[in-house]
Amino acid sequence: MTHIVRGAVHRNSYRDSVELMGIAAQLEQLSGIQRAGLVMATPANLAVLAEAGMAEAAAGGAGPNDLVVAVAAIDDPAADHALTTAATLLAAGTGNPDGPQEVRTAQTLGEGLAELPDANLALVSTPGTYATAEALRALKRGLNVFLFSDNVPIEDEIHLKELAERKGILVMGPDCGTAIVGGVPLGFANAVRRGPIGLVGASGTGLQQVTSLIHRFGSGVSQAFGTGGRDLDERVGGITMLAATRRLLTDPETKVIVLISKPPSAIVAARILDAIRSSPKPIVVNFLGGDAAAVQAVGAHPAPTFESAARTAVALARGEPVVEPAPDLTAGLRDHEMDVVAEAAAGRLAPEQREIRGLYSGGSLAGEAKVVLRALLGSERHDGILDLGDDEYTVGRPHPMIDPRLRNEHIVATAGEPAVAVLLLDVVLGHGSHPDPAEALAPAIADAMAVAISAGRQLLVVASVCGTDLDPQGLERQERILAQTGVMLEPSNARAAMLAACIAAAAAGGAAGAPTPLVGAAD
Amino acid sequence: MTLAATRLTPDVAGRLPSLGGRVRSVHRAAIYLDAGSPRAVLVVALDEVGGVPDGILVQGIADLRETGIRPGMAVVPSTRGVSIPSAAAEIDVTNAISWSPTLPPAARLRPTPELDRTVAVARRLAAAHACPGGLAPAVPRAGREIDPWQARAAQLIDRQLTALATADVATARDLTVELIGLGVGLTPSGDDYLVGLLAGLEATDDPARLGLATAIAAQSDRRTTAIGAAALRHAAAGAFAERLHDMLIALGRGSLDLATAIERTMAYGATSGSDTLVGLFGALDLASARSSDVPVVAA
Repeated sequence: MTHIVRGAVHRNSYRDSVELMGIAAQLEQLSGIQRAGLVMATPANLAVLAEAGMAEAAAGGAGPNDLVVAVAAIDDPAADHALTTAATLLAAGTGNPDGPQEVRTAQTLGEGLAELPDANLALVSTPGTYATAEALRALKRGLNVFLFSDNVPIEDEIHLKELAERKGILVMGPDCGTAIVGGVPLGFANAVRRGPIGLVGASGTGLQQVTSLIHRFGSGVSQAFGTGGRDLDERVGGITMLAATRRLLTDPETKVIVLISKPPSAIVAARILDAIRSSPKPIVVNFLGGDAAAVQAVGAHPAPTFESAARTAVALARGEPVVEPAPDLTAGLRDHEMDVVAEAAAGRLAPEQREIRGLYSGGSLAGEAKVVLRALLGSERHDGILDLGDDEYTVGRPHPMIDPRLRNEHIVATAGEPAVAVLLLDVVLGHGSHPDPAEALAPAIADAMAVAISAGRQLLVVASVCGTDLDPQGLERQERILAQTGVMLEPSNARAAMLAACIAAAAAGGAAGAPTPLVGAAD
Repeated sequence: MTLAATRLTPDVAGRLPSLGGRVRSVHRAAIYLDAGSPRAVLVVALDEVGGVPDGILVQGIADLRETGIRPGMAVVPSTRGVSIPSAAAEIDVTNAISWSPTLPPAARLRPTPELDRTVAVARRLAAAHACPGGLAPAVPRAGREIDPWQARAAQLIDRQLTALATADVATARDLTVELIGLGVGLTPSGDDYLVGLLAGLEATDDPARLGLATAIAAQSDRRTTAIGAAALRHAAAGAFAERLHDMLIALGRGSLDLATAIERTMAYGATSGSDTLVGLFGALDLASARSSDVPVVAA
């Protein structure tokens, strides 16, 4: 195809490489643009432009301190549009006062506040090294802070939270993955209807699972505050969970409160339970592996799983009677139909297939799966539940909720293990997550099944989708793709884990033995 | 606004009383000033960046873009240091201490098997942290999307290191000149690579350093940006940023602060840090190969 080459020179313009490559990538997405490049007009760079047949882009004369925008396009209008777009993006990137103001992006907190003087929350997502300073600046201006950044020292976290406490504002994080504040989703969050249930969670995907299930059960969310995973560490003392709970207690929209956490420090758990003693609003407590009796002793409702937390909260919001969970959670998750399905599935397994492998993108969902498996199967097994979003796996690469490649590699590799009977997965939808996760996952699942079949085995894949019909990815579409791939779908992570456990129990020789009490069992 | 300087290089201290120029660019952690002569660049950086040649480090602010200093503003000497009147900003150097960009003895390395192992670990750590778009890893993987400047740089680097390994200094010098100003960004990737290479050659006292440094000093002014040229001139003269001192010291000690040193080096610029490490590791590989050469003895 013939093309034309056009260019523009921006004198004495200095930008970093990532910004320039980002603009070039955006230009190449424009209709009619075949190639785009933005480089300083050094002799070496101009030589490469010439080799690429784009020398005329700098035909007007440019020196080493000038930036050249070069485009190869199918016609003049496309080239003109690309060059105009580049100029707009460059002006927006620097905050150049001569640039078009309508597309200018705030570069600093001060500039952002000048544009939105009534803002009361700052979202900080810088590398951890700079996050504390940015959060401090926001707090000093009286802004609540959603601190998405990780790698913030715990001493800094304590300092930030104590300062926020004194000022009567909130620090959500660090490493806070999700929140819904005033109906606005922050970080990774699902699209849910507004309603009477307020949540505080030290558990990112736990908060996503509960808010999604509340939506699916027909109710809605007033506020969902994340606290960051270390908030219930003894050193931090649950500062944000306590402060956020106080907010919900006085929030007129909130009728029922749900508190969620991975296994907390016993001292902090006791402090939080003491703070909610005799609360005027009903409170549901889901501390994975927590003490149900202690929760009941302060007048709150214990919930051993994310699903039971959502069910109990919805029932309370509707004024319906609440059935407190049985000492073992199998009563709430397992039924005759599940046992029949598990028996039939186990019949397809080879004799050596006994183990479960969980490959999770959500850390809290992985934690819940471990609790469920242990409740039914005990701890003397060789199952493996991996949280692939853990720092151990994400150094230098995106989180698996965004980029499925790492998990896909693990899925195919797991299929080669003769002892594996069930592959257990989560699929997390919502803002910030992969735009079409099931579509990205399906080929790897199909490959894994093929690997197992070629070795004379059947690999069973069990999954749940954490999300709602309002999420941009579409719950129905995601579940349909997975089902068509041969995945056994359950409506919640706890049920998916329970089905996997039932299959493993059936494969091991019939019905599962006496379940291990879940509530009160430490993780 | 007054920015209190904590450290500055000795040559900067001597030039301040007669300094005059304009702001070239403003970034979160650094401001580049055209300082008098057309190609001289002075760097005002946050203290966290660490010492830089021709640099003044300042404290008391987390983002230099909030100073109100903008490109094109005039820079003039003041009684306490230097000021930018249009932004009502002054950099007060009265309490700043002197810092030298010359490599300290602890940053000078001798090739050993331990150093080889440490470099191998460092390379893995750096590769894990590298963002797309830079030179790291220097040789592109099959199927990896790269731009034509990266492809050209990777090809030149491969040939240059081969020439250096075979002591073909003339070819290495020609290829070095071709790398000046090559690549995307504030300092083109080729410049960052060469700074790292010169640091490694200086640290290992490599005999090829002088020839390359001479060629770079002679060619950089007309072949790259003012900021890139300034960095190359300093490197050719044996002056390097503190983060590179720390990197070399950590490599020499094989210490646990290696990861911190890598993270700090790579945090500089978008791809500059990782591009610099590609050069540094390349030079250390050369030193290792040279030390393991078996001398040829005539029968």
